[in-house]
Amino acid sequence: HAALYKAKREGYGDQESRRRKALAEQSQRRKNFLDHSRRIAEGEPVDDD
Amino acid sequence: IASAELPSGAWPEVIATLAFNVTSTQSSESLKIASLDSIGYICEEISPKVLSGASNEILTAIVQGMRKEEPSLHVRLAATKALYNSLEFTKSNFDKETERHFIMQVVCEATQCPNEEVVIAALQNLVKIMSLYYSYMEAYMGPALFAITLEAMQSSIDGVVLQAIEFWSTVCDEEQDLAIEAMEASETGRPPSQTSFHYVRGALHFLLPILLRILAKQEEYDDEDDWVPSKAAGVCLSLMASCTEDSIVPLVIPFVKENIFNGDWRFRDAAVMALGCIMEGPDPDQLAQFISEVLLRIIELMKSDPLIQVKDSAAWTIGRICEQVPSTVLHLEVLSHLLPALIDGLKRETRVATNICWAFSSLAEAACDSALQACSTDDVETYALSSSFEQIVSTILATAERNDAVHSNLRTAAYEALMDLIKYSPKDCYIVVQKTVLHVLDSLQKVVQIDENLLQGHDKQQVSDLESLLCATLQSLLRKMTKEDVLQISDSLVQALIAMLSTSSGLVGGVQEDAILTIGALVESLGVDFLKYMPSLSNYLIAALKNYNDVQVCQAAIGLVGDLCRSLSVNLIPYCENIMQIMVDTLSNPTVHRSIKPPILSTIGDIALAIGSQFMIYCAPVLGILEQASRTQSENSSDLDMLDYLNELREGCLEGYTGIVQGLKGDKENEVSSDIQLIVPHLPWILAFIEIIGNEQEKTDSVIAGAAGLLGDLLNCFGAQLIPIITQKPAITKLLSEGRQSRNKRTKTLATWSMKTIKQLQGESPGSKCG
Repeated sequence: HAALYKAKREGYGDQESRRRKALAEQSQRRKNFLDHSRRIAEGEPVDDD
Repeated sequence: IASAELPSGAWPEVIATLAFNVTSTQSSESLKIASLDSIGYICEEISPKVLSGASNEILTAIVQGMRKEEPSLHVRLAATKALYNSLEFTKSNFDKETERHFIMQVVCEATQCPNEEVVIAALQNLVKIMSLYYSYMEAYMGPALFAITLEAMQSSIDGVVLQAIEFWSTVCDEEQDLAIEAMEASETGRPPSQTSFHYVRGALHFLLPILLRILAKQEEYDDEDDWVPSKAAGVCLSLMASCTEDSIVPLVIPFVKENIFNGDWRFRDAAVMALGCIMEGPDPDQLAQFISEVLLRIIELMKSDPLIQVKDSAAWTIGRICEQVPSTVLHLEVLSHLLPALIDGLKRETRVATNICWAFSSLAEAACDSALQACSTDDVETYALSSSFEQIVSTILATAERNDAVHSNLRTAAYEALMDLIKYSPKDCYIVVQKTVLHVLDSLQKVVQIDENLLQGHDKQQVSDLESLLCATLQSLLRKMTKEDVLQISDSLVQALIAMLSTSSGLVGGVQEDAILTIGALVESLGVDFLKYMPSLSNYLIAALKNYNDVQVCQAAIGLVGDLCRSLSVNLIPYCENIMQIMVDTLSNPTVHRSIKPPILSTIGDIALAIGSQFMIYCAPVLGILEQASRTQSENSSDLDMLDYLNELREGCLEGYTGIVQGLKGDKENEVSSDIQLIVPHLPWILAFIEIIGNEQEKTDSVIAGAAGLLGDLLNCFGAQLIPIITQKPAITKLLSEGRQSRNKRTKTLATWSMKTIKQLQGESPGSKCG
């Protein structure tokens, strides 16, 4: 658990996680873009049967 | 040698020979030790699968060496260490009650050995046994383990104390995992595979007084890398808070109250630390009242305690309060004390300033959330930090530029705080955003000039780290700025980024990736106005796409192509041939790191969507590649890395297909372009692929969402003619039902949408759309 201590007390952001976050945001932009063109009506219930 | 030979079936007698050396009465002490060491190393190196057949022989030898009757302490130590390495493949022995009792008996006896090294090794075994065989520990916890570890926690030997604390930290980890599993099981209406015995909750009253005492045994001059009992006690306390939630609060508060004014710095520090440690887990409402009572005292300790350790812990605890119970600080009255103290603290020792930066990150997010809840729009007009925002930002910038900011990770913490302050800033702070971007851009231009003149070494690394931080801050700023304002600085920014791409070319771990990610943010902000930079940037983009040996640079470049597609649309056509050629080559190259391939498949979908019918020339080869990639299967279902990769690859394929389907369909509402006919020959496989996903046990939420979305798109293009095929594939309906039950909003929405489309089409005749 020494690594946990270090991460909690001293690890305020690192280059790797920043870059990973930026790439994840890019991927989210793609998903939003695809969904946007689908014009989905949200949350309408559908019967499983 | 055994590590090399045993996996291929060679040298089968080695374990028996070593085991005989340990058990034979003729063996010398040194032969026994060497044989046990050897068994330990073999167990450590070789996959448990290879050795599981020899587990009885190995255990017999080890247990013989560990027994309290063994006269040599060196043999006992070697045996105890060897046991540690063998625990993973002796599961079959742990499954049998009599064998388990015997193993537990020798380990427990070893914890009472007069030799401290044997005791520490035996406790290490207990930690690992608890982690591997929690479900079997009920018979031993009450009669033995509880007493052994409680006594060990009060030992005068640090190594013993550390292992005893580690034991309870491990129990916390296990019970937290079990709590999560129990919650998931209850949501899906199934019984959990394992149940928690709630040992931590039961032992809390006995453990806490000891842990709090250890918390107050700090080293006066400890190195930050030293692992000492007081730090281990802090982590254990945090884990216990997560595990026992509200139960811990009434047990810790008296200690904090009693010691926060203590004349002995160790107890003052322990009081502040204890409070910080229990912030996560209990209901914030359980903590709020007490935090309000002591907050001013903690601020005072951060400002003026004579001991830096106490100031540091106070700053950390304030950060934890801002992160976990922000409602206690987001009042004008509290902020009027807190903000000046935090701003002033940024000028103090680097370790104190670092914690304050982190507190500002949490504070910025919490203030934004609180303002969002109070207003009806997504655009926050003002928030609790607005009146101090300019001063906070300018002090954070000055902190990032302190000469000593390389210590205690201060520079990174300051820029991270700045990124969050900008990201969560309301409209009335926009003028500060405008000023900050000029300051950060100026810093980047200066540092790029330095970088151009540096060759290698420590300075180069520091300059690269700073460039990386400045780029990340610029990304945060660009996302906040209006397009008009971005256009004011974009020429200078592109110039600086080109300089970064040029100077760091060929450097592994360089800043090319950050430069490319910043260009992505610029593309997103400028939209089609970015087109003017394409002639000067395209060569760098192409070079980065070809640079598959630097996986991260290549991935960033692939992501940038996606951003360009969304912003430039058909204006990207002149660059597409080159980009597509590189991507297809990379996909077919077996030497390329596999993590590059899924994002390429997704990005090919982005290109198809951007250029519409112009994509037809790439359809034949691309659809072939997508089919080949989507046919990939995992040969080994226990290989978790492969399962993760398979999910990523399938998501890439689904996004690739989706982009092509949406792109060929055209963008006219209620009209499907005839280009979509190119998909028809591939429809049977695409639907079979969705069926395979439906039957897959280990699929991620994103894969379910991608499959549901693609199915909905196909139904919108091809209409009711798909219904008979889908009806023959019950796994597809099952997939949609699973998606509708997902906790992820997007997955739920897409699955509901697809299912609704099926229902609508079931009433229509086949061929009503394109057929």
